[in-house]
Amino acid sequence: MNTTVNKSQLSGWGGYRPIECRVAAPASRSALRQMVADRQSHPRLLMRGLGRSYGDSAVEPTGTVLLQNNLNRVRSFDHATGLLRCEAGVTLEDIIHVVLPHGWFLPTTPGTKFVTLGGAIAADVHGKNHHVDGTFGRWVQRLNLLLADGSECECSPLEHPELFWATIGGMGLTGVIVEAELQLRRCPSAYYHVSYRRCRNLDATLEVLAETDNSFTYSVGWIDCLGRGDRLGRSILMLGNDAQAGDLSGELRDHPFHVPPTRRKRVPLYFPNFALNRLSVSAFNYLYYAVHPDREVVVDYDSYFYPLDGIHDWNRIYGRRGFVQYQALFPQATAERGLRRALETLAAFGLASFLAVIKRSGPANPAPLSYLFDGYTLALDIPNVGPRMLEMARQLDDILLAEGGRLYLAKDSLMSPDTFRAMYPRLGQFLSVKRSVDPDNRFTSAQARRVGLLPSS
Amino acid sequence: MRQTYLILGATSGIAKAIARALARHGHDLILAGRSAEEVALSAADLEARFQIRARPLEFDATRADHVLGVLAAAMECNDGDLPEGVVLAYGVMFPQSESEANLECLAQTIEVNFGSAARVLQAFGSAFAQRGSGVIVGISSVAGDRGRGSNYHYGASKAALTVFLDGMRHRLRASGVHVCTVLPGFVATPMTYGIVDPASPLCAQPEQVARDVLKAIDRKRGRVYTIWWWRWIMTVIRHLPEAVFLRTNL
Ligand SMILES: Cc1cc2nc3c(=O)[nH]c(=O)nc-3n(C[C@H](O)[C@H](O)[C@H](O)COP(=O)(O)OP(=O)(O)OC[C@H]3O[C@@H](n4cnc5c(N)ncnc54)[C@H](O)[C@@H]3O)c2cc1C
Ligand SMILES: NC(=O)c1ccc[n+]([C@@H]2O[C@H](COP(=O)([O-])OP(=O)(O)OC[C@H]3O[C@@H](n4cnc5c(N)ncnc54)[C@H](OP(=O)(O)O)[C@@H]3O)[C@@H](O)[C@H]2O)c1
Repeated sequence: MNTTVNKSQLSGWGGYRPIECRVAAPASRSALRQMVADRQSHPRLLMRGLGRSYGDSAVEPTGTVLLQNNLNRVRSFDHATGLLRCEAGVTLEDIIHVVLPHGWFLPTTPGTKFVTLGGAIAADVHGKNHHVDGTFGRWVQRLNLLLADGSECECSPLEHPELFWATIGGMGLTGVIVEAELQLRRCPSAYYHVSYRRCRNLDATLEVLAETDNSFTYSVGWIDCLGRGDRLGRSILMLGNDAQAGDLSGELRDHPFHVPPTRRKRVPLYFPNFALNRLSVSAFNYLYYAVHPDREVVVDYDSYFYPLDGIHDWNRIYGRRGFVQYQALFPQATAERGLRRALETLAAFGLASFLAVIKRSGPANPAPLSYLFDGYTLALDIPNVGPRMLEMARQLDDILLAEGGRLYLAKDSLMSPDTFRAMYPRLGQFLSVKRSVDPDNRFTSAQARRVGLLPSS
Repeated sequence: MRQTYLILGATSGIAKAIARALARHGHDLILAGRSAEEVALSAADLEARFQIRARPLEFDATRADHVLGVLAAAMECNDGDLPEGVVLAYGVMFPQSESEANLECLAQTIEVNFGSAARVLQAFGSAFAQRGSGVIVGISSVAGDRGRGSNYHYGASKAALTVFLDGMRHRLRASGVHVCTVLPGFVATPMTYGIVDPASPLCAQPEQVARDVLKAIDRKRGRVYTIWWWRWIMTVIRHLPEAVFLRTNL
C-alpha cells in the first residue's frame, strides 16, 4: 500500500512564506486509514485540498500533510432530489460537471471552482448569496469523519451535532472529512442575469446593497480603495439572479445547461485586481464610466462566479515574495463607520490592490468557527512589501477589533493570538469538541498554532 | 456503439483515467482489482458520473485462481458475453535496491508484471480471435526498452510484456483482434509519487495517457509511446553504444 512521504515546500495560495513539509498522497481509502491509525509514523496530521486557502491553513511543517487527489469519487447522485454524496477530495469544478447537466448547481460557491469539497466544508466557505442562502455548511447534510484515534464517525445536524458543527468551519482540526452529503440547488439554466449598478460613494454602495437584498440572489461589488473625500467607497455592484431557459437567446435556450466552450471567458466581468494595480485610478474611472448604469447582461456561470479561474496561476503575478489576502467582516449596525475607516487607511497607505471586493453577509450559523455574521465584508490583496504591509494590516486589525469585526481564517496569514481570541468568541465551544475527539492535538496546522487556536509547538 | 471493456488493475492511477475516458464515451466497464473496497468506490463513481454500468470484479494477480478464472468471471459480469476489449493496467515497481536485497520482490515483479499478465492476455487473445474481434491494450513501459542499472528488474518484466504484446499483435493480425502496446514514460500516479515531480515537463498526467490510449484504440495503432516524444528519447537510448551507455547513470 502506497503511503510514501515526500518533502516539499508548501504555502497557501498567496505564496507567502513557503515552508518545507512532509507530504503524502494516500492512494486509497485504506491507505488513508492506515496513515491516520499509524501514530508512530504520523504523530501529527493535516489534510490539504487544492491549497486555495491564502495563508497557512493547509500547511504544517511539524506533521504529515495529506493530499486527497486520489480520494475524489462520487458515491451517489440523486437526479430527482439533488442529493450528492462524494469523497472530500472531489473538486467543485468536478461537482458542477456532474450535476449541472441534470439541472442542479452548487448551493453556494466561493470565487474559484478549484477547491475541494473538504476544503469548502472545513472553511465553511461562502458565495455571493450568503445573505439569502447562508454558507456552504448549511447545505451539508451528513459527514463521514476519520478521527484521531482511527475510528470512523458519521455526523449530521441531528447526530453528534457538536462534532458536526465544529467540523464545519473547523479548518481540518477535528479530523479527516472522508465523505460528505450535499444538498444541491435547482437551477433553471447555466446562466445568470447580471445587472451593474454604479454607486458614487460608500453611502450609495451600502444603500443599494441593502435595497437589493431581497430582489437579487447574488450580490458582489468592486470598491475603489483609492477614492477619497466624496468619492470614498464608490463602487460598481454586480447583482445577479438565475436566468430562466426562456430568457436565453437562440440555441442556448434549447440547451440551457450547456455552456459552449467558445462562450467561456468572453465576458470580462471583473478585471483581476493585479491587472489594475498599476493602472491606478484611471482604470477605475474607465470602468466606472464604461459600464453603463443599469446595464443588464446574461452570462454563463464561469464568467459570473469564477472570473479568475480562466487565468492559470494568477497568484504568481505578485512574484516570489507572495501576497496576503485580507478579508474583513464589519457588523451590520456600524458597517458604514468601519468600512469608512478601513478605506481611509487603505487610501493612506496606497499599498493594497486598488480594488477590493465588497459583499453582503447574512446571519451566522451554529458552527463555532464559521466566519460570517450579519454585515459586510471587504476583501483585498496586499503584496508582501515587508514592514509596511505588516503595519497596514495591524492598523486594519485595530479598526476591525474596535468595530467588533472579524478576519477569515481561510484567507488569513498574519492574525495574532490576541486578535484571534477577540474575534472568535465561540472558540471555547470549538475547543471542548476538539478536546473530546482529539485530546493530543494530532490534527494541527501552522495557522492553528500561529493564532493560538492550538499550542504553538 | 456502447461496448464493455474489462480493466485489470482498475484502481491504478493510469487505469482510473482510462476508465473515465471510456465511460465518457458511453462504454460499460468491468473493473477488476485486488481491493474490493476501492473497486466498488470506482464503480459507483463512474456510474454516477457517466450513467454507464460498471461492475466490480475481485482480481489479484498473485492468485492463480484469479488469473486462470478471470475470463469466465468477466463474462459472468457481462451477462455471459465476452467483453469487447481488455485493458491490462496493473503492475508493481519496487525500488531496484530493495528488489536486489529481497528476491521475493524480484519474483513478484516478474510474476505480476509479466507471468500473470501473459496468461491473462493469452486467454483473452485466443477467445477474441475465435470470436473474430476484440481489443487488447497492455500498459507496458519505456523501462522495457533497454536494461538500465537503476531499474532493470522492473524493466525486464516490462520488456517481456512488450515482446509478448508485440508478438500477439503479429499473431492475431488476421483475426480482427487489435493488440496495442502502450509505452508510457513518467506518469504522475501513486507508483511514481515521491520519485518524479508531477509538475516536471517529463511527467505526463494520467489523463493525457488515457487520451493517447483512446486514440490508439480508435485508430487501431500497434505501439504507442506516451508522451509521444518518449519514442525518440528511447530510440536514442537504445542506440547508445554499449561503451557509452555503461558510463551513464541511467
Ligand atoms: C481566487 C479565490 C477566490 C476565493 N473566493 C472565496 C469566496 O468567495 N468565499 C470563500 O469563502 N472563500 C473563498 N476563497 C477561499 C477558498 O474557498 C477556501 O480557502 C477553501 O477552503 C479552499 O479549499 P481547498 O480545497 O483549496 O483547501 P485548502 O486550502 O487546501 O485547505 C483549507 C482548509 O481545509 C482543510 N481541509 C481540506 N480538506 C479537508 C478534509 N478532507 N478534511 C478536513 N479538513 C480538510 C485544510 O486542513 C485547511 O484547514 C477563495 C480562494 C481563491 C484562491
Ligand atoms: N507511473 C508511471 O510512471 C508508469 C510508467 C510506465 C508504465 N507504468 C505502468 O502503468 C501501469 C499502471 O501503473 P500506475 O502508474 O497507474 O501506478 P499505480 O497507481 O501504482 O497502479 C498500479 C496498480 O497495480 C495494482 N496491482 C499491484 N499488484 C497487484 C496484484 N498482485 N494484483 C492486482 N493488481 C495489482 C495496484 O493495485 P492496488 O491499487 O490494489 O494497490 C495498482 O492499482 C503499471 O503497469 C505500470 O507499470 C507506469
